[in-house]
Amino acid sequence: MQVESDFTKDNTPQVSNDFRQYIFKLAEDIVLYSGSFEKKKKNLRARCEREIVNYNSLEYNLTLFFELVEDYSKSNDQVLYRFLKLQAGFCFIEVTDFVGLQIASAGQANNGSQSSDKYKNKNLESTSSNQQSGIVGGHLFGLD
Amino acid sequence: MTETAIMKHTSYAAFHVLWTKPYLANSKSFSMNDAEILTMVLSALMWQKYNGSIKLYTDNRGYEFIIEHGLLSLWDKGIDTEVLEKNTYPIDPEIFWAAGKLMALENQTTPCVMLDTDLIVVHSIHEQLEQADITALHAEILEPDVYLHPSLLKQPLNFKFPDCYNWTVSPSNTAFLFIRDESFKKFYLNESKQFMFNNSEKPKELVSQMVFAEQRMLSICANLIGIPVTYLISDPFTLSNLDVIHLWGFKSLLRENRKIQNLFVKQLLNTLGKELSTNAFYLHFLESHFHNQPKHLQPVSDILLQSTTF
Repeated sequence: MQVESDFTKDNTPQVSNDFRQYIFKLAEDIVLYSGSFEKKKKNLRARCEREIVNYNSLEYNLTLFFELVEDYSKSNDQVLYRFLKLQAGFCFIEVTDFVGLQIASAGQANNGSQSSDKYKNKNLESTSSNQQSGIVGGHLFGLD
Repeated sequence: MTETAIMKHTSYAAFHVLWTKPYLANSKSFSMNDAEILTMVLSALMWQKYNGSIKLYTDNRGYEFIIEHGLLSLWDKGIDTEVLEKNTYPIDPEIFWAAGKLMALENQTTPCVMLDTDLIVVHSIHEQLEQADITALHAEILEPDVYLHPSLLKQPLNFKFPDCYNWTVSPSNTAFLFIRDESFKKFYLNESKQFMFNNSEKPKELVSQMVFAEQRMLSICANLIGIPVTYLISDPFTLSNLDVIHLWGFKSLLRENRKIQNLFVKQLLNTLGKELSTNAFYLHFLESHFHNQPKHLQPVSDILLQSTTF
């Protein structure tokens, strides 16, 4: 018996294409060209007011996104990459634009090769995965 | 799906296990982070919503933890502390860190489902279970550095593996395990106990003995008896999996990265949480755990304000 549930439905508020483009350019400048987020906040706030978007929430989400980009650059963890894509969505960055940020996925970088290194750790709950941080069914709660 | 439609099926009795002894062997305290607790809560509630009843086996320290976090009434079939607390089996909890699950399974009457606290079944799986005698989560790859050659496995003194064991069968991931038949359960547990008892020579990795005793042994025993093991999912990462979320190795990332932990919590609340929007326990849990959060959890608070009525 299969049950149809709608819990994976996207609830992200709708914004204009113009606003999305603005956010993408902002992210692009910071991710690709090491721009300063601080210097862009004033303008971001004004754009949010015009778009009727919660500035505090978006600022939090963008800050988190940039932090995760940094974390990912250090770890190349494939699951972290999936969360990064998810977080991009909370920042109104569409999947196609996300690709434009040129953040290579670990899967692309190492062909998704499975590692059994985690078995060498004293991880009490690493019962059986042969993935460093593998998660089963991530797509069921919104991970691409 | 109405409640009536769900209830016309058999109710499958499941159990969770929270055995703190392995943690306390290395640490003075036992803890679970917010993401792990939320996953355990969703695991129990979603099981009750779609598949049946659920009970918790834990020990005294685990019970204290459950009380501290207001989770006493999460399991509709209650909490047992006797089985794990009073167990005197000569099993090293550091080597056999999941042996508590097998002790609980021994006490549980069949048919039953052993459900890891980091695994959520998001839909009814009655149809799969109705047709099976043994169902595990998925088959495991026989990786030689995890599933060691028998000659490399640390064993008890004077122990010898039976010649009839088939070492080529694929181990089964037992984060989910359904067993219908009591005699098979006893056979499997007896074989496993013979390997675990007084097996105290530590391996290099603290994994090989446990995964043998629990996961490979299950498949070997099923093969010996001639019962096929069926699986909930064909492989761990298939997109055709519509039923199961299992944190698996992701827990290590969750523990290392608080930002990911918060994002994961937010996403679970935003998705699966909707399924439980009328569940009184769930709403109370949200209020007590996430209502007064520090600023770094602000988006979670935002969600709570939007999705709950308290």
